[in-house]
Amino acid sequence: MRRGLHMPIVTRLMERSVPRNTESLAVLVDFVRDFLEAEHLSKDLAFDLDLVIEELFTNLVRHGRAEGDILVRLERTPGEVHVRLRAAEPSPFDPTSVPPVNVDLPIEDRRPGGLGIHLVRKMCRQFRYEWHDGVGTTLAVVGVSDSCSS
Amino acid sequence: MLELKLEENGLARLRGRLDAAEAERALATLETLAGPLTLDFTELEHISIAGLSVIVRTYKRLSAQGSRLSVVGVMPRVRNVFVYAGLDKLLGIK
Repeated sequence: MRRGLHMPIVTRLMERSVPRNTESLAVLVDFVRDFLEAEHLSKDLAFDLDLVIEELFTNLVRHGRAEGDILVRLERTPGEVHVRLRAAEPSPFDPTSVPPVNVDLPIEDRRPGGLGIHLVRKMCRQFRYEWHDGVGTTLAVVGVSDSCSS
Repeated sequence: MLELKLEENGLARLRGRLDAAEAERALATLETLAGPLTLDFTELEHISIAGLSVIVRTYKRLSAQGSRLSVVGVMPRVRNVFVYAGLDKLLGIK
């Protein structure tokens, strides 16, 4: 069959729900590797995905105002991996609104915080947040280079 | 999982992942060490901002004591995290 505009864009996803604490990071590291293997993506992509997930996840663990598990979803689309973190929050808790960090300042003049989100902004093509009915969803889009796909 | 192996002459080798789950334990170990201190990152696969914070706190403690911290053997992906955070020059990471 000839590929054309009318072919649907195929996306595949995996998701895992984990307790809201830093011990869950080890589970998420395994989850990323399961996803890369299932999608035949290079392990080279693991570093970026691990980092983006960790920074968004620990932001929720440390500063979120609710309890309950966090759902992490990885979805492959053409040339990208979409990372979504979904968690209950009583009101919007928007990481995309964190002020930018000036990394050119001397270390002693810097305010604490914000570096994790700074890193996500640096590494992702898109960074968005939505909140509906007590549930917040953060989307971060990581690019897949030609060397990382098969 | 992080392994932190202490050797002679102020050298410590880190292996594995210095992430938010390991940061507290790593800091507790590094706080027991006097300077000058060299951290060998040759086998460090992953570092996050929580891990960077451990290194910066160790740097500040040793600097306040008139001593120094060096970080060597940093693989490119780990180095990028220092660069993005604007901390590569501070720690002399090449």
